[in-house]
Amino acid sequence: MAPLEPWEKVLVDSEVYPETVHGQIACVECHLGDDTAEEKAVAHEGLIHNPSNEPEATCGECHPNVVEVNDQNLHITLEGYHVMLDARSRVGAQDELQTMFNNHCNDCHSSCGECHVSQPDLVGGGLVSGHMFNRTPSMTQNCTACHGSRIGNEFLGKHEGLKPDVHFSQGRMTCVDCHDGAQMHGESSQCQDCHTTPPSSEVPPKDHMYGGVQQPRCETCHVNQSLGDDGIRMHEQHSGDLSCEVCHSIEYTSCDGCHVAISETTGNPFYATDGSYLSFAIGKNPLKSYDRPYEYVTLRHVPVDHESFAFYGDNLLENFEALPTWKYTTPHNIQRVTPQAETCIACHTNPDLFLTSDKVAPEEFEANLFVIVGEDELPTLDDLRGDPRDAARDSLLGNSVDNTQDNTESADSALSDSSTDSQSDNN
Amino acid sequence: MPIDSVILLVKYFTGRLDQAARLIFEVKKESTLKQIRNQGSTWLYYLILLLAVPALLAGLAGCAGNEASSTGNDDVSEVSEVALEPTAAPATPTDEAIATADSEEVIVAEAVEPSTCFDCHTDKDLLIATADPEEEVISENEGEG
Repeated sequence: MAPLEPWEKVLVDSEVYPETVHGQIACVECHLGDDTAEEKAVAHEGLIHNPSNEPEATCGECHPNVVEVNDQNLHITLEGYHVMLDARSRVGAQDELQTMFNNHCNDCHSSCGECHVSQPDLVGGGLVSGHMFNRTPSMTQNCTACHGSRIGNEFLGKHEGLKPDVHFSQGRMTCVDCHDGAQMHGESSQCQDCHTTPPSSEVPPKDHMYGGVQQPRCETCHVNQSLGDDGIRMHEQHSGDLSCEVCHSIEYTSCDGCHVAISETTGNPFYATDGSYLSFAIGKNPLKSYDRPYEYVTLRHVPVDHESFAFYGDNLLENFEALPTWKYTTPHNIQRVTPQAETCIACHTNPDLFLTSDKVAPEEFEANLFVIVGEDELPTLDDLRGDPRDAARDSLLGNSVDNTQDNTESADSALSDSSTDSQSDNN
Repeated sequence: MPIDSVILLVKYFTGRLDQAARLIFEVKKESTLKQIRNQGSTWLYYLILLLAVPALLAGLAGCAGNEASSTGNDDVSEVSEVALEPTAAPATPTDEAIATADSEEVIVAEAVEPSTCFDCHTDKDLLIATADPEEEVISENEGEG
């Protein structure tokens, strides 16, 4: 996203905007200031740059149904940060962490206007289309302006050698095609109004991104695939125990060691991360629930470490082990065919795909105990016993296997059939 | 068209409907006669329509002419022009606007009247000329955020 020139950020469309509903409202109604003054300084006296920071008094006048659920809107509450900090921190560390939060995290906030009128302040702001109120936010100027370094780069295929998400490259879908207004505003979607069982399952307000009912979910569109009745063997076998991303995602970004502090020279807050790299790791599901019943999911390393907030106090994250540092993730780089799902043996003979203990830093081992895949839990060729594709295993192992199934079909043809099914299914 | 109907039509126009009906009655059953009588009535209705419709149209044309002459009134013309203006009132009209408003049109006119805000923020050259110099912020962040 190219930065906007100062004049571009505040240039109002003189032709179209006045004809719109919002164009009927005098500027000073929302922005205050003095619309009779000739001098810029006087005209801007008391000016409110972003009126939607006080949504009840502005947007809420006409859109009360949206504003009234703002306390459930993660874009506004940033509740996910608080949940994670509370879980990892020691008792009595809240004040220091709140100061840290205000200095470093609170800018990751989005008001109504930062999605529907201008670019987010975090990336410098500026009107997106001449002060027009866009019902649908711009994917690049709004959504990925903030969610760019991971989600945007994955979805749009900006990592060298990695394809964009198939939903973008072939489906021409944008963020809002899955993440609808209800989710963005923190409203419960229609399904959730009724389907809140079992009692233990949460419904919004969510306390973090993966809290509550899964929204959006692949299964909404890919019903047959999720039920395993589309004739594809891998779906038949794994639709219940693997999240879709385990087979259909490619490498995605992980980060290590973020530390925050206030600069001694400028007094400004800053951060430093130890590393950002592409990774792919299948691990045990840390958020297993009625809504996310998968045994195995994709995991992403998040940049927190024991000393991330040491600038603000000692041992603030005393309960660091309360949450894994390899977290449940839903990468946005879905492909029909991936290296791990190309054939059965591509996964069943490849421990590199899994988060095994040797891949976890010793100081984080305890935190990730419940997501690490044990050596004895890795999928093997023996798991394929009884499948016509056993022939592939036989050829690899060079021995004979006591098969109860008809193995006249070669492994290659079986696999290519499966692959063909997959192709046609997705077409 | 059935021959019976043709006979009926000819006899009707020659004023001999009953005679025609009797003639047909001799060659057909009663039910058939009833049908023919009905057909005779239908033709009668068609005839009435033929005469009435032109008269009705002529009457309507006369009325339209009267209406056209009445819209030449200047007052109504003004109303039409006002109706072309935006009629929606601002969501929260200013106190000043409410105080000076004699009618809804006045409120609207004041709300959409170009302000100095609008004049400046739609003028690219003016914005460039009056822009504050941007402070160069040197990021001290290291690594991907």
